[in-house]
Amino acid sequence: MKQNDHSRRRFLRTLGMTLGASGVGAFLPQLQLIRAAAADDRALNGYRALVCIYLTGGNDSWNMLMPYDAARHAVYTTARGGVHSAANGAGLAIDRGRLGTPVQISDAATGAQYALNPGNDLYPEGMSKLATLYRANKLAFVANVGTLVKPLTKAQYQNGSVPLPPNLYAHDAQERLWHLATASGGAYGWGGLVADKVGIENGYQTLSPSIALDGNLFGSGIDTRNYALGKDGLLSLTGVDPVASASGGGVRARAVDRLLAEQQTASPLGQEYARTFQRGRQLYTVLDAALRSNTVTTAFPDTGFGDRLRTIARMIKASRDPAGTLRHKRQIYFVRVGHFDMHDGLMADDANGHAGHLADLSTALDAFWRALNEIGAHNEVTTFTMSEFGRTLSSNGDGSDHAWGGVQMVMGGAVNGGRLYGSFPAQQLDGPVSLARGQFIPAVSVDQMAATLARWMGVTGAAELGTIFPNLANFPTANLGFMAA
Amino acid sequence: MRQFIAISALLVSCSCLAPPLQARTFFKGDFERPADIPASDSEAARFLTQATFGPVQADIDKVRTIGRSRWIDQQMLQPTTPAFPYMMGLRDVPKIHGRRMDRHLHTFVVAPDQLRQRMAFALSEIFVISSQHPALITDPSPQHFAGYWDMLADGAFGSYAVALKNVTHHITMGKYLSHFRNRKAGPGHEPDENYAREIMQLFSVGLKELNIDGTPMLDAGGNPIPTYAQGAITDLAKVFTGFTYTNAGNNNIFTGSYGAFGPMKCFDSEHDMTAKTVIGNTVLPAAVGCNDEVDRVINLLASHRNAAPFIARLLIQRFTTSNPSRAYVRRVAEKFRDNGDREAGDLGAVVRQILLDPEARQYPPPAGFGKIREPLLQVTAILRAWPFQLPVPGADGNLPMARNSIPVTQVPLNAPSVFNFYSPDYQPPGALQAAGIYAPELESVEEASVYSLSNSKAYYTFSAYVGGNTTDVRPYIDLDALGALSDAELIGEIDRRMLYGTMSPGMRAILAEMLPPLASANGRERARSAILVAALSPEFVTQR
Repeated sequence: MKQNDHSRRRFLRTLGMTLGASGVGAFLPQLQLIRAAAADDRALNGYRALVCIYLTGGNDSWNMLMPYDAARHAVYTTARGGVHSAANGAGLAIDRGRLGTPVQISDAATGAQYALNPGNDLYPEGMSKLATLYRANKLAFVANVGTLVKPLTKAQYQNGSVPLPPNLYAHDAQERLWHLATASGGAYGWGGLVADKVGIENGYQTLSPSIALDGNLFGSGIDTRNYALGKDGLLSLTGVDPVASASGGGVRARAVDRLLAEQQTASPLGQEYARTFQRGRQLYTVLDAALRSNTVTTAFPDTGFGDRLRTIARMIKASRDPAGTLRHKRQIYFVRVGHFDMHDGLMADDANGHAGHLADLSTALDAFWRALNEIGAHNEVTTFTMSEFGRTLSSNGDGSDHAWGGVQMVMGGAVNGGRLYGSFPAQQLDGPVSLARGQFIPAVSVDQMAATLARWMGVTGAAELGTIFPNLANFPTANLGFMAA
Repeated sequence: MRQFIAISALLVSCSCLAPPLQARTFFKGDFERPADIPASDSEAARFLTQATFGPVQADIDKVRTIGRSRWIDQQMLQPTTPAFPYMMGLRDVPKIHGRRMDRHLHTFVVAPDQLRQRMAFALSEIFVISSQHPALITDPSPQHFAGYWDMLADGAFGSYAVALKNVTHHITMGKYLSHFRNRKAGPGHEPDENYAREIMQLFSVGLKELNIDGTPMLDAGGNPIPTYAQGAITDLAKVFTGFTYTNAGNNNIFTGSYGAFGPMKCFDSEHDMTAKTVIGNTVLPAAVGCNDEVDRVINLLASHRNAAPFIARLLIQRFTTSNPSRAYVRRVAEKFRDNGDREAGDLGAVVRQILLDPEARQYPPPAGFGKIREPLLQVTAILRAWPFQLPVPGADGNLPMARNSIPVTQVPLNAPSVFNFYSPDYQPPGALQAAGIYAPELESVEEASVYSLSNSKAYYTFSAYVGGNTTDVRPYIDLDALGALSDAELIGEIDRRMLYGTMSPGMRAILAEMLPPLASANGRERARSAILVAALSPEFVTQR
């Protein structure tokens, strides 16, 4: 009964949005209704959220997680053009002697030894905070994951007998495929499609289950649109508001709201602008109040990324508050961190080098983890990275170029941490699963990694997973195992 | 009360660069009344909204006297208002990108070379460099960026191939896309592929083979055909090796850092001299020197059949409409291939076609024609619509146009990545995506950013007049004269100046109902209210 109410509300919301598109033509939302109804049978207990950390530009993950045992580290060193030094500026390998205990880890399943990026003089902590989380089984890695249509061997790559993802190595094309988690193309982000199914029992339906701190396709589904949230929460509108006021601000606010509601322009683009602005106005009052009353005390790094993570933590706190206005049960978040397209300066010893970016990432994610503990949501929130591709093992002189498979992280109390999933490949140029410059043919697909996360969010049936990830059946398993049930 | 400051007094002395390209269409005799005079101020203002940083009455009068085509002729003869000498001339203030923004904003709102600067803005969103790159933030990068801008403006109506060549050799592009000091292959390293990839994907031919009307060619299976494979990138990367500072010698090709201005120099000794197989399976023979080989590649890309429709669509989207018809793209692309004198890549002929094309000139326009105004162009259009005060130049030569504490939502040459501020293929999810409608600018308009955009419009136009510090930075609209107008007159002025006479009856009614409750407020407050609400309206934000 309750669920029917919710689905009806969601239906009406969808219908309202559609009818708002006057002049463009009405798009009947039967499809949305059917999809929403499909999730009605499921019990969506408690709160769960995914937080996607997108590393823009293609992270050189082979210098984020590297083999530590002497034999494999030597192979890695050779492929990366030798240890980087003043005398070997082109070398991209990190000296094994610099991989101290704080960044050493091992794979609980195989015992194989690895190390995380150790930082440098300016960033002496390196990624040690994330290594600590890994050792506490709160962090896992998915190794050599990338875009695939179906499993692919090197021989098949060379003889062209298996279809490849289109536009390999191109930033925007590959990023799009990561957001779709379907290498044969599509229009909807996988996070948005998951939210279509699991956002159904969220209390305050006007707020989308998909909350974007940065622009993305990932969170945009058939029925789910990203709600864009500023890095510091909500910004008030200069000279306008509050609506109820008798002052000039109130007079102007009522006029603006009428202009947006009535959409006098004949242009469908102008109408879309009006709808977007209207959504921003509708949510402003509710969310601004919710965020103001939900603070976190954990300190975050004083960076744009740190600000965004703090805002996400506050938003999660507000969304879970049983006495609050939002009462959401399933949410997805998206946030970007930039400057990973390091064709040059990869090994730079300053704030612009890769080690600095990774150390900043480690520090910020650790702060986020502690903030989630502060608000008691650490077992209910799973944070993971995506990045459009890994990079070439071989050097281009002082950096690395676009490649294919790479390593991603998954962090949270519900993660089966302390382990590597997928398959960590031998660090060779032109090896069994690598091409001439050390571009890796992925061992597992984005679809599989995403489906594992989708399952944890509550999309459990094979048929339902298949509607989100149509190529999933091409792969041997839909569950990589890094999430607890 | 109006305090216009003579433009000439503010312009830093113009050490004008190369003489402008001669306009190809020479003036017809004055006795002949031009055939393309707009029938109304409204039509003229619409044309100027497409072609400038916002219509002003003087330009409206001019277009209605000499016609659109001759107005374009005259604009093409206007020399560049340069940014580089301004940056170099700053004394005792840090040469930062904020000062560059001061200069750009000033140029956009007052300089006479409006079409040239608009074209530079459009080209800057194709040949993207960005001051967000962490290595390109501090002195002397802002000066280099100003020089890059001037280079685009100088070449705004010249040859596309020359523009592509100049961009390729520019030191800042070299640093942004990392072919500066790119090494040929050696033990343990291969050439950097960054520039090789983006010059093809973003600056010239794109990822898919195109028909001349911009639609993708399809193979027998109905799939798009890739323009090139990874192997073509790997080999093209070898072409862009050996570049360094213009004043480097043989002993410091790869060492030393000094901010030499001027195009990069390429050393054959550090250039990959092997044979290469590049786009279209074209073989570049071994032992060709760097400069000749780069020239050959530039010409190969500029004459690739994709270049015309690819560049045509991108430029149409910047000037007139997000959703050009196939026929419109085709006509512009044909002009790209042949300007009438059997010359390809004449950017002046291309922009002329874009602005004078029957699809752009249809009036009133169909509902699907037009675009969301770019955020920066919304700010400049509001300023140019009204009498406004310019800042007083500081003792150190700076023009404090941009406030450090308040972000402008769109700063030239400051896109998040080489993929520009927005994608040409962006479709907002929902109704527009379902209808297959493109809306690039809406990629930067979301629930949160639409608030920043609105605030940027408010702060950069008039907010300091109401309870603020009027000695603070300019420009601000002079609201006093407007305060004396009746409600109907004020709404009429907003319609004429901001919406060129296209205000809908519904919007007029909303403004007419808004103003009486403000009757007790002072004149500034009434005028500000009307302009602010109009600036946020869907009708102003959309360029039809």
